[in-house]
Amino acid sequence: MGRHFGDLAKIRHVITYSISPFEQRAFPNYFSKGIPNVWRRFKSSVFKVAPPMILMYLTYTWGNHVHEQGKRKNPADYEKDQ
Amino acid sequence: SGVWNFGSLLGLCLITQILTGVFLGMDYTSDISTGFSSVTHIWRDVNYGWLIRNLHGNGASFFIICIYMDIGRGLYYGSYLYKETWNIGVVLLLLVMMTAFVGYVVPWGQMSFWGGTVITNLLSGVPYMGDTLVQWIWGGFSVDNGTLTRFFGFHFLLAFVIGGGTVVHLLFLHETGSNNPGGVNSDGDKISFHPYFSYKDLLGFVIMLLGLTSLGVFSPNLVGDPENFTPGNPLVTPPHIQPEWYFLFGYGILRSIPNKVGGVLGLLFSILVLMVVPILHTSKQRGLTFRPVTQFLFWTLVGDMIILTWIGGMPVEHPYIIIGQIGSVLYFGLFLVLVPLGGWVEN
Repeated sequence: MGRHFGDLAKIRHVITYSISPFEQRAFPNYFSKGIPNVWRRFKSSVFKVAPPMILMYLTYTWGNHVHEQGKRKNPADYEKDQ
Repeated sequence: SGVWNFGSLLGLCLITQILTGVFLGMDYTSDISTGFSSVTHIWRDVNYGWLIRNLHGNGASFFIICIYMDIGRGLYYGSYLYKETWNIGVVLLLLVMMTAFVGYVVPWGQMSFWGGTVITNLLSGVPYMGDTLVQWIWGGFSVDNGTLTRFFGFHFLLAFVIGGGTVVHLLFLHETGSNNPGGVNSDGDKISFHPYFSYKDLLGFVIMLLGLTSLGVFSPNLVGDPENFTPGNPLVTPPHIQPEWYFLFGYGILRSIPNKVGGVLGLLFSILVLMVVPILHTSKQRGLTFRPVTQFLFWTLVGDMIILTWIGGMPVEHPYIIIGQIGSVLYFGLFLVLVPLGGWVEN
């Protein structure tokens, strides 16, 4: 069932190089490059994610505010009371 | 990436629910005179019964979180183009929702009884034989003992039907192999399951189990309804009948349509619309990784579902009615019109 190693893809004219895990650092530049990279990834997605979330929040607060206002008494209804 | 963990997490959720459910079933009695008190007995007297019930109830929430995330991954990265896997996934979603619904009736609290009454009554919208159908499901003329006994049986049975569906889901997935964030063919880049995915999945298991036990131990009633601490009473109707959080978006759509049959169809199609998504794929690219317009629409869908979830839990009053109606139109509009249009524009 399914596909097997050795029968997946034929790739020609591609040379790959790799270095032994024992000849390199495990987490190179984790903070010095990692933190700027997080900022780059944030900038590239914030204007696609944040606007719908902000709109959602504004709808939520506006909706609850209008609902609370609707439960209040309207002074105009009681103007003719003695 | 990490969002590919939710498939294996769903397997873990299913096993957790079956294990905890089997142990709960050893002490639960599915009769209306003893059902609620048997749950109390499990909680107070059975060794670690409180923990098993906690894990089972909150496990259902985590199950559905994982399903929603798995579907979200499928929508974002175009995994739905594996059509057989996707459509069986939609069937699994429906099965899980049915299992969760009948399972919620089992403890026979107020919300169990009245939620069960509201949702089963929706079937009376079926033309000509609606009322007969509802009474057939109920096993009587209202939600009563007949309903509880069979709902417990369905709950137990459906768990194993889901297991079978899962096997078929994986069968089709393993014909093609998984998608990836680039949406490209990965036949030349395959790596062995062990140790790469065994350890990746294990990390996911640890994180999810940590979350589940934290919720169960520190805040077990966070997503529950206090009405379910009161035994079910057909003579006393709770002021606000609402399902568990994971059904609220559908409940919001149902109540937005001022027609019984229309509302039921809206609820049904809010799930079935997923089966139409692969047919409406217009982009030359598989996923949204390099498609900013449709990415914005995806997050609009996420925000819309959160709004509909909120509305589903609110009373049917101004301005919640109009917000729910706009949200419902936006929900279907995104799937049927806006996202296909976005793909076409991006081409």
